[in-house]
Amino acid sequence: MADPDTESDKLTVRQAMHDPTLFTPLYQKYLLPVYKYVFSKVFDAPVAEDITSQTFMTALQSLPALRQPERFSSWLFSIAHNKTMDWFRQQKHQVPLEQESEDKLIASDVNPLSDEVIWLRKTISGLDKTDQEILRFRFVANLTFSETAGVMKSTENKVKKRYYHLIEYLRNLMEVDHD
Amino acid sequence: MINASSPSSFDSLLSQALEMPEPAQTFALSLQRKLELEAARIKSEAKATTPKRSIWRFAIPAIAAVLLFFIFSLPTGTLGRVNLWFAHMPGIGLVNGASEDLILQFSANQSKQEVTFTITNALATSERTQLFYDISGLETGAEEHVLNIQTCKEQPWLLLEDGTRLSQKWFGGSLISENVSRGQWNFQPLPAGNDHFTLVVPCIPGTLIGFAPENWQIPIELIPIGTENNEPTSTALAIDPPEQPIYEATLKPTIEPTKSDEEVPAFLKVETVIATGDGYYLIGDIAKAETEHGPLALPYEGLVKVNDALGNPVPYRLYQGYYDEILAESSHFKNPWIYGFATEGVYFPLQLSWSALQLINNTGEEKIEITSDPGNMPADGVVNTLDFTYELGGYVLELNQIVNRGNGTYGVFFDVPAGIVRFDVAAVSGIEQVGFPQFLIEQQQPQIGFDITIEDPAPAPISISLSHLYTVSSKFPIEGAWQPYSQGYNLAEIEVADADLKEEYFEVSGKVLPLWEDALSLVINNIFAINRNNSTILLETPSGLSSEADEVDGSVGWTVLLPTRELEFPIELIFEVTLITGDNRSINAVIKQPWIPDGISPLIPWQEQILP
Repeated sequence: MADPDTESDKLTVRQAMHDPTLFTPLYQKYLLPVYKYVFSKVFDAPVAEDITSQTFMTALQSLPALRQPERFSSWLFSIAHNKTMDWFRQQKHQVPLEQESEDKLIASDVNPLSDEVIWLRKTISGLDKTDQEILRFRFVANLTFSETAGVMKSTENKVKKRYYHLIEYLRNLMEVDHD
Repeated sequence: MINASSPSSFDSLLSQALEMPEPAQTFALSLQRKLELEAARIKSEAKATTPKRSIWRFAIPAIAAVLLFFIFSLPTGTLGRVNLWFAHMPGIGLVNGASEDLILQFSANQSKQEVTFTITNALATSERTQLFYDISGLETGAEEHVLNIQTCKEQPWLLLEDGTRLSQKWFGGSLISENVSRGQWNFQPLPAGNDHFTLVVPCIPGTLIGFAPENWQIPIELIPIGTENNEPTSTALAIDPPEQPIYEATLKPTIEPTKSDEEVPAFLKVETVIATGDGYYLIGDIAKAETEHGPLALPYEGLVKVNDALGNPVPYRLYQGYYDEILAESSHFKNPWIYGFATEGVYFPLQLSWSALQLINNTGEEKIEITSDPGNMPADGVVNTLDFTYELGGYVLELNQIVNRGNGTYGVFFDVPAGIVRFDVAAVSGIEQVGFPQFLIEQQQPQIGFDITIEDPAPAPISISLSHLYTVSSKFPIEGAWQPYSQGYNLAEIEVADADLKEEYFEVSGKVLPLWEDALSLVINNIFAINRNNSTILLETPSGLSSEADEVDGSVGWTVLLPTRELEFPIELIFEVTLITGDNRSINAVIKQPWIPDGISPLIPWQEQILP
């Protein structure tokens, strides 16, 4: 059975493809996850705003070329991902991304964090990039497995399998480390 | 204490670890506003590029009607030399754009009362001065059928700065679409150094005397083609015609032509390309052509279809040339045309398609003679309605109207059966001059008409002969393509640098190199890929949308992920790119590049060649 949310999205996307002024509902729905996803990679609010703006502008301008409206979310996050990668290339970062991300990740929170959360953040930033990306799509962008697979050009089963392995790995690691 | 072994607790921990701040409200609102403005802009641009219905809805059929009117018009006595003149075949020539010719840089217009007279384009060559005009605001009914003897017949002229007058050689047609008239004049060639002159129009041709503003004087300034303001001149891309004609229409009676491998001669040749601020003018020539079966014609009722590389129709304006050189002794006379189109949103190369008609002479050498006493001709300004029938080649031709146009000139009109597109007319006696037989399709009943001028004093009887009655036997599809370029044939080139087979996809990367010599930048707008069987390969990642240009050669890198389950080699990579040139011109192009992994044969399934 078709996901009602996806079906609703599909309809909105189709409408916006024909009339770009109907893009606003899509923007309102996806602003938060896109911004958060971008922020989770750059850890800089002005930069995240800039990349988010570029992402939505490109999506609006390129919407007529989208061949599968039902995969709008995957497509949108692909754009966000590409724009973010562009930003990194432009910055010509000298500091290894993982290290910098880890530092920023910890520094970005003003509220005191539990040891477990700090541990998790450090551990996540040391993960393989694909694993990090799966976690971002699942927990930051709130994408479904199907949508995540769409962005990552993989299959839903593969993403699920990798995700559950990853969760299991983190959980076991945490138990071992905290024992 | 967090219990990591509890899935829900662990998920909660992960959520906390990956909790990210929300965007500022001001940013969210500001971006929304920007997007709404952009959406409105896109929408309004889409509207603006949609072909307008108003004028063109009527003008295109009208153009078709009038052009047919001209295209099948040949002067008696010249048919032997030029009876194929309107036959033109594909193969758009590769010709340099540099020229000594002059062209209008900006349209010139003048308004009187509600009427606006606009010179939309001009082309001055050593052989003629051609002006193209639009007249809008004419009251319905002000412009009457050409037969109406009360209409304006005073000819326009060109007044040069030294007072010299250049007279009109040919009036290239006038057509009406509700309240718009469009046409062209051909004047004598401009003497050297006269790029400023005034067009003097005593009255608007074809309008009822006293119904439309008169005494127009429109200053016109021409500039040389290829001057800085018109840069860059370009060249045209040669495309071979289809090898085999396709026969799809046969009208009776006919001689069915046998299919032939003969080469189809060239028909449209782009001679000059002028880049305007927002588009191009293609100026070319229509060459005559024939096959072993007889003359070929271009049916103007369909006009040429122009689509861009994405398959979208490209609106254009056609300025069809006229055939004043038809009387020239040269074997090839010029019949110029101009296509003007805007390039915004258009992807090159343009695909041009047309249908040529194979004409068949159904009468052999048969002739019929029509004789009349000069005293039976209508008096000055009178229209005689007649009902005489004649048979030629098994067809019944009905002489139904003779119009006295004054000065000894008479218009003679025949109703003809559908399918007849032309016959030849020659003077036998008492006739000084026979005008071009013109095919008229404005009416439901097809007509062929021509003018005769009777000798003074008129001997009796006056006599003309009709012969060579032509019908259409088949159609030739004609296709060509055109794009601007200045280095090689392509605007850009795709290079595949690397291909890496992953578990589920090929990761293929490379670069797109701009070939336009003064390209400032190149942007990849979109990347597609299609299989050997033309099925689309789904690439949802717009990988090329945000690549950076190489500082050395301006190339832009790209990477695509090709899902292996869908691949059938060789595939074709299709890039939609935009080049920004040194003169700040945006040129959209579709660049295609076939690709197959190194060492892979397309004859064997690729999986068998790669996987153990």
